[in-house]
Amino acid sequence: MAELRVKDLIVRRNGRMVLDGCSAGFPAGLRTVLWGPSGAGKSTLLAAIAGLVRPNAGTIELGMDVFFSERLRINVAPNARSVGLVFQDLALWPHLRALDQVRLVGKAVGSSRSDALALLESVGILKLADRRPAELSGGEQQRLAIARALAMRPKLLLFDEPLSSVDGTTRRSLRALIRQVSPQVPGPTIYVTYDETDAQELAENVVGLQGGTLQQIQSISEI
Amino acid sequence: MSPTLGIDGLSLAQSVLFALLGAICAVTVGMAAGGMIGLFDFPGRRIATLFLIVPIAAPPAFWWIGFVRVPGVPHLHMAGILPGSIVAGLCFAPVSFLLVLAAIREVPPNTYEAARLFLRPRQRFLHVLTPLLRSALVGGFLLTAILLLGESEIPFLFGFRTVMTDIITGFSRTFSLTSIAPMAATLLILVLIIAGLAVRPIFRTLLAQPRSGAGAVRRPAPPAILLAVAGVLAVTAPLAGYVLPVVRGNSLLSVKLPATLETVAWSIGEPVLCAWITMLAGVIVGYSLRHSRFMPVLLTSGFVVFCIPAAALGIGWIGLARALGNWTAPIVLVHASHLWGLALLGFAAAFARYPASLADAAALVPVSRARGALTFVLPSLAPSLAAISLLVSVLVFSDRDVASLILPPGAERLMLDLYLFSANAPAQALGVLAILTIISAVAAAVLAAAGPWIALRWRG
Repeated sequence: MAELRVKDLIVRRNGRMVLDGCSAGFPAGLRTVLWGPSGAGKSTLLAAIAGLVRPNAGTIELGMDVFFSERLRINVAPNARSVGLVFQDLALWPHLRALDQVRLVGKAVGSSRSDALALLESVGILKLADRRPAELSGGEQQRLAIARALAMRPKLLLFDEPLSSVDGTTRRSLRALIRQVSPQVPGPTIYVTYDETDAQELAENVVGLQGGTLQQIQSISEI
Repeated sequence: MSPTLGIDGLSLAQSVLFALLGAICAVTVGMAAGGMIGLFDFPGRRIATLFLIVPIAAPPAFWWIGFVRVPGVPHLHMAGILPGSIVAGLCFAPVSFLLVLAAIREVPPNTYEAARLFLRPRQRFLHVLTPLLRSALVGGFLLTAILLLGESEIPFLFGFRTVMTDIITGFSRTFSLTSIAPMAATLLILVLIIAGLAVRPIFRTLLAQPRSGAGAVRRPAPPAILLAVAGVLAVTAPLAGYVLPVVRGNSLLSVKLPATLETVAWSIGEPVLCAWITMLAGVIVGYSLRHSRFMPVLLTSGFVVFCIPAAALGIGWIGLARALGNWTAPIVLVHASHLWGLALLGFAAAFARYPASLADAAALVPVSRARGALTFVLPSLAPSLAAISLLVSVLVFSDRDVASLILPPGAERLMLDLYLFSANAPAQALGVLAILTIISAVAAAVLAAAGPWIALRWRG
């Protein structure tokens, strides 16, 4: 069980300071809701943790593993960090069937076809294994994106506002799924949102991001 | 009456092999260059993009003639289909490069980011990038194959025959259309089949839907990519073969200009006029029929006509002119008849990316349709229309086949003179003419692009 630590993280994009010396710890085994207004830099922080954005300074560590350190000149490639990320727009590969998306990602960790099928079953879309993303509903696509993120047996799981475009009923069932899958990863689960209900339903720990800096928040009601 | 020249099996086989090998080379280089420019960011990326497009601005023979004159490789005498197809493939690589670049700009940003996160580089390339770029790659391959089937100079220079070289030598010898009819028909059928196959992937790449993102996210280029870009940029090295003899001989000011002012004026004026005419026709027809069910038919027809080798179309115009009596088709008309589909496709590609809500908002303004289009819609498309106008002018400027067939004896154009000079003129004179040709080509391209840009931006 490893804690994710972000220390003095600075990210500038197009000349604008997005993260200004962020520091926070994300405890292993807990679902942390990362809360903040639109444009606060929540998605940038997730992208930096995943390795998709290179920070200008600071460190990112998961337990003993250093993902990024400007001082030590370490920047681990995204696919070597073992981070599962559910993108805001899901970013499913349009040309691949559901089963192929999960199998392809699982190959890196030696998963078999039956492992991929079991994963699709666990998120409730086994019957849709032969369909491409365009042939799935919004909720089914969300489930596939979660299955794909889990297929690499990630050490930590990141959700970037994945429920922002689904209706209320689907949203409730997906929240239940997120609660069900997040204990499967050894590290923390970080869930980005600005939706109060999502935050209240999912948060075991809350961190706020405003003005480029992170701050520990006791409860959603404090916000 | 001249005897009919039958189709030669060897020429046909060599045509197909030349097109196939050249297209493979072009797609390989085009994809590598497109991937480097589209997926990575580095200082001078835009200039590198421009340099990678430059080879299409002149026929492959121009580059080869320059290359063999680069100091260090003056005695390079290569012959045969393989080196010929590699040279021609490198020169036509910008076709695939531009299509790959267009396709990368259509990839939703996070789709490729997800591949970076979840997959190893090899898996990413094989299972995500290549399938997402499939239409661009297939379209680039087929379009390059078509261009190579119509290419005649490289086979002449590398000493092998193709159906196209047989048509040109046959027509030059007999001046009879009936004598070359079987060969021309065979080539046309081959081209039309490939053009038919290319329509879907090309249209799928170019006529994409409007979207908010700017394609795959570019990340800082590692040193290996910078080295590879520098390697690909070497494609433009043949320019040194023309420029260095002039610079070394200090003859830029002392050598008499090997072309008259009239030749320069015609060489610049014809491409500009042709670009403006085709662009204007493309915009008027394209905008009027933008929601019509005839538009796809018109686009397909225009694309297929564009695929017909310019020389074959020129010979067709000569036949038509003879049938109509003692008449010569104006060269601008011949080029416009060949390139109108390109202008229409360019307009359609630009309009496909124009948000429908903006077009609807323009339609609600109480002004005439023409004024609404000129004030609200077309100014937003000005950069794309200027780019297409530039492309048309470049294609006309670099033409040699139509000019040599259509122009009256004694008429000169810079590109024609350049070939004549390359045969026996001193290196310095050839260099001066090449520099003059390049400057004129740039002038024609700038003027052609400035037309729609100024007209529409001023309106907007």
